[in-house]
Amino acid sequence: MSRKKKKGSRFVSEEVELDLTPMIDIVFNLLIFFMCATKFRTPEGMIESYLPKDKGQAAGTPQIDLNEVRIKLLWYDADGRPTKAEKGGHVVVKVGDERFNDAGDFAQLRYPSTSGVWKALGEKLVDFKANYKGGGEKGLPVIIDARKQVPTKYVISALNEVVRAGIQDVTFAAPEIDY
Amino acid sequence: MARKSKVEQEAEPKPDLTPMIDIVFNLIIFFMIVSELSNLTVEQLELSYASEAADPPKPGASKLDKVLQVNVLPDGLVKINGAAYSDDPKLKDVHPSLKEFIENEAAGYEREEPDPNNPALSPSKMKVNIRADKETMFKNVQQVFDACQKCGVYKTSLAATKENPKKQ
Repeated sequence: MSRKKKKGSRFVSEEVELDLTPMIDIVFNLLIFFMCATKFRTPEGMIESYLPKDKGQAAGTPQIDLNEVRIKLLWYDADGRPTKAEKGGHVVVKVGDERFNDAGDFAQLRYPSTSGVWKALGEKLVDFKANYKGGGEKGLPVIIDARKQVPTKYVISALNEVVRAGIQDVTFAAPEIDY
Repeated sequence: MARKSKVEQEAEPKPDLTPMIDIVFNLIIFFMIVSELSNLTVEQLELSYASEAADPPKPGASKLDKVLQVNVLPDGLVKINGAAYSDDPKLKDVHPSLKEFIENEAAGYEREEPDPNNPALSPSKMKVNIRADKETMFKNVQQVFDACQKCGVYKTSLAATKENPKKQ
């Protein structure tokens, strides 16, 4: 300041002023962008899969209901043999000895669908439930036994059919032991 | 304008823009941080489709309805609140234990009476929602189930979308 006064007053009137308008334009644009981009991501729907609390590691031998339905999601190679490879396998859905699809038949596994594996599985489950005569307050026990390489979407498709059939006692089989 | 003398032009009042710029910058930083943070609990994943999926608890629900979100990424990485956890013995030195984390979380919740068939374990009231990517291998989900089961957390659920997928 003191230097300016020494040099003369004509510099004061020509003081350089920052033009803030473009910066404000940019800043407002950024603000609007972030306001629009901030989408508060909320949890989606969830499908209940309670774990059994009456069975556990300390429980000893669990009681086996002979009427239980075991939905098996197996992992086969292209030749239709069980495989341990993580890539290139195919899901095969089985209940008991009944096979719902062949390895590599992706059209059958598509979901949602009005035909194919999941519809057949759903009908089967409704049938099992209607014919269940066992005791227990929870009704027909269903176990989903998926091989560890199976993509989760197929497990959820199977679980969805179980819930749709109105079955309350759903459990997941423990992972198979590597040998 | 042309008629105005030089003196009049200089005297024209100019609004002080500094406070406004301060506020606007603060807002920008706020929105940037919020959008970062909201991604932490709920990772960007492609979920499986399930027509029977139930609605999630509404925001602002009581503590009992609060659900711990466990994300399972396509490559099998388990992430909770942005941090990775694993019970894989091979990754013992890389990630903290998932089981210990859930055990610590479950300590903040009440426990129920043990089931007569399994008196050794008193079940926790904690709820866990597993958000698994639809392509992730089931063993990665099993790992979370396993950790929950060992800690007595049985109220688990699997996240699914009700939106109709183009192709699954």
